[in-house]
Amino acid sequence: MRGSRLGILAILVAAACSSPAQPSPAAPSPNPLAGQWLGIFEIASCVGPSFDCSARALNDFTLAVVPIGAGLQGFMVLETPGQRIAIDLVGTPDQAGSYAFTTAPFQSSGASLPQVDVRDFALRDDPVTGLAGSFTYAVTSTWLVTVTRTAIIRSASRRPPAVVSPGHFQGTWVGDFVTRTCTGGCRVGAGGYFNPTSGRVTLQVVQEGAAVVGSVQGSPVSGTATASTLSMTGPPLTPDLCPVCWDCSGWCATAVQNLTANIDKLGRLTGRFEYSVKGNTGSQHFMYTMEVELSGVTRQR
Amino acid sequence: MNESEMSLRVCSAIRGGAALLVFAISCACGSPTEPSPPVSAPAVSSLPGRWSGFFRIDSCADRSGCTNSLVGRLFAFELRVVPDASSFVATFDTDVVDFSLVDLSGVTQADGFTLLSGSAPPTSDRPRLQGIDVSQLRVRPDAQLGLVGSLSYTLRYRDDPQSVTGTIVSASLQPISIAAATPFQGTWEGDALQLACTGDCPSYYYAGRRIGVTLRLTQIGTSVVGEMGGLPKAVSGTTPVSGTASGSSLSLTGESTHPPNQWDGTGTTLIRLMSFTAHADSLGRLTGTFRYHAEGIRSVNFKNVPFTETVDAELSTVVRRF
Repeated sequence: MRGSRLGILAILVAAACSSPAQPSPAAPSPNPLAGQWLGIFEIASCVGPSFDCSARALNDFTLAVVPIGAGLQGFMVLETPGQRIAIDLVGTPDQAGSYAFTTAPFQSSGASLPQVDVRDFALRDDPVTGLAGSFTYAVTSTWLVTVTRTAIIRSASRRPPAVVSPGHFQGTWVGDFVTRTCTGGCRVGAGGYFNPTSGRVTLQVVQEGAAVVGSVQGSPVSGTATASTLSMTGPPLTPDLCPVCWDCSGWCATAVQNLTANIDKLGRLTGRFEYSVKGNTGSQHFMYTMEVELSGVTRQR
Repeated sequence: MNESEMSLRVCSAIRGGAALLVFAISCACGSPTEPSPPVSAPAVSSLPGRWSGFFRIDSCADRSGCTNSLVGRLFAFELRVVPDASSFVATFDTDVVDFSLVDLSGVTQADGFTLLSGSAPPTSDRPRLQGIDVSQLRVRPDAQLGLVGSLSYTLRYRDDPQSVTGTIVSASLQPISIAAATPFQGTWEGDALQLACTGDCPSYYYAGRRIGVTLRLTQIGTSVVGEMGGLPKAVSGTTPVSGTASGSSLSLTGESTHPPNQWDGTGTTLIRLMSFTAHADSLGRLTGTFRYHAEGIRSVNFKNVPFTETVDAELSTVVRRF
């Protein structure tokens, strides 16, 4: 009796999962662009102020690509001197075997990240150089200076995935943060203007099973990791005031609390945390807490 | 227990009725709408590869009281290991100090740990820091943590050496992936050490002076093109280079001109990479020598005077970026 119930159950499970009348399709061949890439692009032309266009010609990029239906979704980081530009991409195949990528028009978030518009982005795999392609990108700084560069992808190599890892959050992560809210002396700390609306963020995460320790912005944190979510927090700022001296104005201590994050399908760390700062301006003490969002954060190591 | 094993055990623990049916279908089919999280794959591996991990400093001894500032802190490291006959050769890189790529070698002990040791050379632009000695890096692959072990090293500051011991907390392993057909393609970064300078060499051009080197290269067959940065230090631009590759050997030349500083008319105006011969190894290191010639205008005693110099240098810690 028990055996027949299990047999029925097995049939129902099989029926619910697939249609046995149809042969299962052959596994599609992997898209040759899919994966993680590290490459070199050349700035072939630049239109903008001469200072902004004086950067070197060859620069590094990283690219993560995953297939989405018949197309591709990607995330690219352009590393030029003094600037790290993160770009979301959506790719569609063309007749020639290349992929044309577009990126969503920039939507102002009120943050001080540069506006980046990408156009004419064509990319294909190349048996000799790894990747080949070109694109044009315009970067508009927060002070509304636009620099438009035409770039040619010269070569790229695949980054092999980790074959052993203590946990999928483990590593050193680098990207930007964007401030969503701020409470406390936000204007005082910024000389009467606003709190930092964005900045560079670095996270170090050491994972042992469900336990994680590490640092965010140099502040120690610890917490837990599940299969999908990283939760870490650190000690709060102490209420004592920062020392005042002729050359010690600015921030004297930071704290990171209530970080929650997960890794998206492109390998980015997304999430939020509370970033508290205290310091003095030379004449006035300040302390404030920003709720910040991770933006374009990728694993560096 | 991994996720699938856990799912199977939970599924098998539920018995009877509709709940069983719904749950069984759920277990068997999974959720097609949610991407599965990245897979962590703890497994005992062999040592060769590129390990990226963290170590914790357990003790620090010097006269300046480094205990307070360093003990208990985590630092990132990268360890590249390849087999060499019955032993291993390796490089160890950490951000404790900004130059710390150390060449290591060692063998596996009876207890399963591999014992590595080595040194990094001194550089004269940090006159206090005369080198780093890794007296013992003791590591072993681990099923849960990736890599475990311990290390002890000494930063040879001239007047106050700093001796440190630490624990390898954990690490991830990636293969060292170098395309056999294009071993030089990619970005290479590190230092070269000046061997000699002839011509109008400034006083700070000592033998042993550190020269930061960056190469961004694309290889097509035996042809290699790209840029070399850091020649000389006063010039922020890069020099286009081209050359040929033969197996694991590379030779390059190149030349670039640069405008003088518009404010005072000084600066390096010509850089010519006269020779560059190097060898790439299986660890992703680039070793070899190069010679460059530079010309320009330099301010000496408030007067602008022309100069020419020819510098010979040896690649010291140049590694491929993965």
